[in-house]
Amino acid sequence: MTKERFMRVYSNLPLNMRKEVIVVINKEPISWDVARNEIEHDTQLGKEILKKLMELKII
Amino acid sequence: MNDKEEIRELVIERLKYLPDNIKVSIGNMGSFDKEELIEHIKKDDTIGKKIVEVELHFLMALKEGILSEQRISSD
Amino acid sequence: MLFITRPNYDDTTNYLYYWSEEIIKEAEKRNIKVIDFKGKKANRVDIEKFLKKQNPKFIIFNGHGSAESIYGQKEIIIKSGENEKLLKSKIIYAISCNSASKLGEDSIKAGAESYMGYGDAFIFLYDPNKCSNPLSDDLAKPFLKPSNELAISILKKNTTEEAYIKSQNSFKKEIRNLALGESTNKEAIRWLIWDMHCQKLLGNPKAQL
Repeated sequence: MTKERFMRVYSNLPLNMRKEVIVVINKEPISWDVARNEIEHDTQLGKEILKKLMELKII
Repeated sequence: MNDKEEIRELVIERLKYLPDNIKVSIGNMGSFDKEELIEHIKKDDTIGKKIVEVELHFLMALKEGILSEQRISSD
Repeated sequence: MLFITRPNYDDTTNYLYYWSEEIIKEAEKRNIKVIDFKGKKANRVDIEKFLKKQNPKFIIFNGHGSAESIYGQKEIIIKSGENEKLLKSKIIYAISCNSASKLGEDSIKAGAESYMGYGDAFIFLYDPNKCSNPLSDDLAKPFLKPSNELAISILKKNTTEEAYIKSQNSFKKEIRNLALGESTNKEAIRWLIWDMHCQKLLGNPKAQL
């Protein structure tokens, strides 16, 4: 469910905005593109990113 | 770190990508360059809170699809 | 008659001062008399004296603001609870932060026909190297156009509702151009969206010159 929410927001972004930082995990800034890659591949980082984005109500 | 601190951290990271040669006029609050904006966010003062509010407003607008091609082409 | 205040003492008021030149030219082109209180002339005493004697239909206030007030040249010129009745029967456009909240509402209660402005901070981006020539500043241009569109639309005898919609569409067009194009000014999008959402129309939407 949250993955779909992320993809919906991501897919509505103009291409040139997908390199913007969308979340910071362990002091590392993460862009929309990097987030998408991690989330699509169901990595641990991807799960953390999704959780943080939901907590901060960004998706 | 609580949510508010995380939001501030996020906004700071996003504003780091602003060009160096710009200033932002925020009405009565004054005009600020990138470093000054970031400094105010770190201080969490009135100006910092406003900058964060505006950035969150933008992120919420993105969530609602304000920039989706279909929407901004048809408006 | 168009009455316009143009204080000029810091970067923000300097930009608003020069942005207004296009509005003044449009009014003159349409044979609308323009009374321009610029610089030190944008003070409370002179403005109150003028508004008590004359009856401009359209007033544009440039300058800083708050929820209850509009500033001229480093001083408050219109303040809620004090002199907003001077705005009775007029169409107002205030490019002043926050004033469309309390002052705007109070002005309508005091008889202003229509009040257009911003319910929160009006924010714009600019190049500090262009302060001596703001009209050449491409960073600020996307903010100038929607704001001027509103005023010019009124001068063209559109209703306040039509002017507001045109201005909102102008904001959207600027946002679209920055989002979809190869512009290096994409940072402006966040502040354009903010200004667009803060812009307000109060009072009679059918008011017109």
